[in-house]
Order: sequence, then structure tokens, then C-alpha cells
Amino acid sequence: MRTYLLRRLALFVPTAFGVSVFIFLMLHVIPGDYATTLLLGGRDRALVATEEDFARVRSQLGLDKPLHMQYVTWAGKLVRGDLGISWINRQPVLERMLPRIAVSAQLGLMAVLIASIIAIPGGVIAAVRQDTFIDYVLRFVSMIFESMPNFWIGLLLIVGLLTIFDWIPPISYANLWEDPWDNLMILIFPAMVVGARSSAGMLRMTRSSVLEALREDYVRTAEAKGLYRSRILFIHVLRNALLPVVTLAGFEIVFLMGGQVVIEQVFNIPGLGNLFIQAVGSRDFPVIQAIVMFIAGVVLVANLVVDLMYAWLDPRIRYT
Amino acid sequence: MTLPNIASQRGESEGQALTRRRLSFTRLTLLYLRSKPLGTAGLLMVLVVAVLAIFAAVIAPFDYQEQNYEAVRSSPNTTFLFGTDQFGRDVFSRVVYGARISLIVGLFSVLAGTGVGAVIGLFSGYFMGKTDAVIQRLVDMWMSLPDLILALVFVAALGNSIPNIILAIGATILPRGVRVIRSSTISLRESDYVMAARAIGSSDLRIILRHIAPNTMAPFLIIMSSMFGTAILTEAGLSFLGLGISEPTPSWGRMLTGQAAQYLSTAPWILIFPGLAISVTVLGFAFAGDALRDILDPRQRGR
Repeated sequence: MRTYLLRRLALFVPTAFGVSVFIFLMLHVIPGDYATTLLLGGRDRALVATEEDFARVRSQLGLDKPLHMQYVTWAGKLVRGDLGISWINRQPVLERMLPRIAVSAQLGLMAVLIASIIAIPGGVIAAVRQDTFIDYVLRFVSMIFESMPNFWIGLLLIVGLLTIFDWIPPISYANLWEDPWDNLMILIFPAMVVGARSSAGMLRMTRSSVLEALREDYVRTAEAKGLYRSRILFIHVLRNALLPVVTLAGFEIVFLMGGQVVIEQVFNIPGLGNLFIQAVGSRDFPVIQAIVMFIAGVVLVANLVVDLMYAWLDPRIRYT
Repeated sequence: MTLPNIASQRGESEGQALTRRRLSFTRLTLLYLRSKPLGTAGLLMVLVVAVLAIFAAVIAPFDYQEQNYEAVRSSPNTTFLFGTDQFGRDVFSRVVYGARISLIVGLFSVLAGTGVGAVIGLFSGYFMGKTDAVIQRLVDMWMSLPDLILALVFVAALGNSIPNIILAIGATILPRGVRVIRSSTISLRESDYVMAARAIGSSDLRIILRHIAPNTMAPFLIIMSSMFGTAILTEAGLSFLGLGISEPTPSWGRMLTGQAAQYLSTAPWILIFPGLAISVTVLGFAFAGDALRDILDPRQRGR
């Protein structure tokens, strides 16, 4: 276990390094360059800026240095917690990101919670009642949910809330600590959309995992001993079946963060996704770079935690 | 009906018998239609969308840009089947033309993503060793970014023309293609006929192209069909965010964005039909893909 832990941790560092190189290269090896985007934004070059202007901007941004030097500068600052300065409003990127990270994290946690509340009981019921009406309904509904774009579900939900409760997404955002009730009311609907959509995959995973566990020999033994079905289900089946679901929940975080970006836009939530879309729209590269790196970091850490939890939860697994 | 009989005598399912005997395309299609009603329904849904896309100019009663000023935000009626939007454009015609963008972007990004992924997967799985280890670590990194975020980074770097969007979505599919083809290559490279080919001195390239690649067709088709829906959803997401296909080209995702949201309560048809079109298409691909997987890879059944 300890060797596994060390090896897994050791793997984390090169992966994080690789991801940072990957993201850096993707944003730097582009046709045209930063300075063009920044100075012209699509307008005709000769009218707005001279060659000297370009040279000045490039040297100000450090873009005249060789690529690997630029990477070292960026990564060095990144490690020290300096994410650079936004090109659009000259604010430090970190300062712009921090309050938004809190919002998105809260939304994400609520969504995962909602997804688990729907998916785990749903998956267990579908498996126990395999090939019955309820199983078909649950699987069918989850498939339909997976086929609908999440922003569309969000829009439909807003239509529904508007017609039934006269509710509209608020224009201003309420802070969790200052106004917890309003905050919850703002986030609950977007969290429902993100969570419901993520629950589809989780439900099917739970179902197949429980089905597999139900076919195990120890379940037959337990039945032969005359144990109650509920005891077999909760003590013997679920403890084994829910392990893979934990792994999936880790992957689900990746998926969820993508979904959140769109949903924050639909419900007008000032989260990280919202900032990201603004940055992509205005090609604010330091912000894009920082957010993507942050998201990749969260995903990597989530995967690490899931792997470690898996090893800790299931003593049968020996990693060599 | 000899096929199921042979299959049952050997204790195999129809699908196994099928992959073993490598039946003709016609028989595969017949088996699919006979044993997979849901898959057939999915196939039909996809076909309808494909027909709309191909014959858009004939089917659509209006041009997708034509503005009918006397009928702005008109509710669905006999002239405007799905109503009109805030500019008086016929929503039905726009949905019909939108099928083109969705299918073109979906098809090419899936072909590019799974195609390139398959080639990498074949070589990575066949040669194993260090190259494989490096490629797999790269795939891990690649997959540590959510699809939409990765696509958005590409769009930010390259701009949002249609080829760039295909490239961006293809990039999100690529690592999955690598994974799937690699794992089936690894199991194939140990098979007897590959050993035999090696024994008579076939080159590595020949073994990969003539012996392994044709046998990865089943997983290749499965991953392609299951990624198609994902690609369409990613395109819709990008366009919805205003960073995908730009106006005036009608894209389903784009039709749901911006001002359209203001007419949620007064003119819901502006939002309902494009969203429905996306959902039906993606669902069609999901049904068709699941059925295909059941037939080509019976071990995965019921998952």
C-alpha cells in the first residue's frame, strides 16, 4: 500500500508538468501571435498600429524571448502562485479567479450531491428489478437525459419556473456567507441541471456494477443461508458494488466541470466558467491559461484522490 | 434462418457467430433490423436528420435568412410549422438547415478524431514498450481536460471557422479512439494468425495493416457511433456559448443563444424546436450505437 501510494504520487508530478507544457504550447503555437490579437482584434493592421507598436507589445509581454524561456517564466510564476495579469483589465488573474472558484466549487459540490442522490438509489433499484418495467423506465429516462444538451434543459427549467412560480434567474449574485438562503435559491436550480445530467451515466454504472455483484458466489451463499434480501443487498452486494461507482464519480468531476461552464452562462452565475467564456471571447490568454491549468489541476487531484480511496476502500486490490 | 441454428448448436450468441463468420454487410443489416427494434428506431431518427440535411434546400419552405417582417415571433401555424423567431425567420427552415451543420461537424470530427486515434492506437498497442507508455501518459493528460474546455481552448487559439471547430471537437475524441483501438490491438497481437504471419517473415507494417487493422473494425465502428452524439452535443455547446458556428449559418446550438432566451415565456417555440432537434439526433445515435455494440461485441451487452 505504501509503495503504491508513493508510486501514484510520483506519477502525479510528471503528469502535472506534462499538462502544463501541453496547455502552454497549445496557446502559444498559434497562427499569428498574441500581439496581433491584442493590438488589432481583427481590424486592418496598417490603420491602427505600426511595426514599432508590435515590437513594443511583444517585448512588454515577453513574447520576443524563445518559447522555452517563456514557458520557464510562466511555470516559475505559476509555482509561486503568480498567475499573471489579465490583458483586458490589467487585474491580477488570481484576484479575478478566487471569488469565482468559491462559487463554482459550491455549485459543483451541490451538483455531485444531487447526482449521487438520484443515481445510486436509482441504479440499485434498476439492478434489483432487472428487466422489469421500472428498470426499462430508469434506463430509458437516463438515456434521454444524456441526449439533451444541458443548456437546453436549463432553459426549459427556467421556462417552467417562470410560468409556474414566476421565478427568474436573479441578476445579482448573493454571497453564501452574507445571504445563505438567497445563495442557495440561486444555485439550487443550476445544480439540479448539472447534477441530473451527470446522474445518467452514474446510474447506468451503478446498475451494471450491482448486477455483477448480485451474480457473485457469496450472494448465493448468503441466500442459501436464508438471510433477508435486504441484508444481502446492503451488507454483501452494495459494499462491493459501490467501489467502481466511486471511481466513476472521479471521472464525473471532469464531465461536470465542462457542463458547469455552460450552465453558469445560462443561469448567469459569476463562476469560473463564466470568467472562462469571457476570456475565450476576448482572447485574454493569461486568464485562459490560468483557468485551464486550474481545471486540469483539479481533475488530476480528483483522480489521485479517487485512486487512493479505491486502494484504501478495497483491501483486496494489491498494487504492485 | 440457418445462422441462429448454427450459433445455438455451438453455444454461441448470434453476434458471436456473426463476428466469427464475418458475414456480409446485407446479413449484418438484416440481423440488426430484426433483433434490435430500438436500434432500428435510432437508425431511422438518424436517417430522417440525414435526409433533412442533404435535401435542406428542397424541404425547407423558406431560406434560412429570409425575414418575414409581418410575422415576427409568430406561433406555429400552417405557413410556419415551428413558428418564427424574433427576426421573423422560419424556425422550421432553420432547423432543417441546422441539420447540415450538426451532421457535417459531427461526421468530420468523429472521422478525424477516431481515425487519427485508431492509427496511434494501432502502433501504440502493437509495439508496446516505451513508446506505448509515453503515448498512454499523453492520452491521460489529454483526457484530464473536460471536452468542452479542451474544445474552447482550441477555438481560442485557432478561431472559430468551421474547419477549426471540426479540429477542436476531433481533438476531444482522439484520446478515446487511441484507448479503444490500442486495447483491442494488444489482444490481437497475441493471436495465432499474427504469430503465423510473423513466423513467415511478414513485416510489422504488413501485420498491422493486413492482419490487425481489419479486425479492429468492430470496436472502431462502436466508438465512432458512440462519439457521434457527443460530438454533436459539443458543437451545440460551443455554438450556444457564441464561440462555435457564427451567424448567419444556422446551427442548432446557436439558435438557442443570446436574445432567444429573452423570448422564453412569450415565444417558447424559438427554443423548443432547435433543442428538440439536437436531442432527437443525439438519442438516435445513442440507440443505434448501443444496438450496434450489442451485435458486434456481445460481451458488453446490458452495460
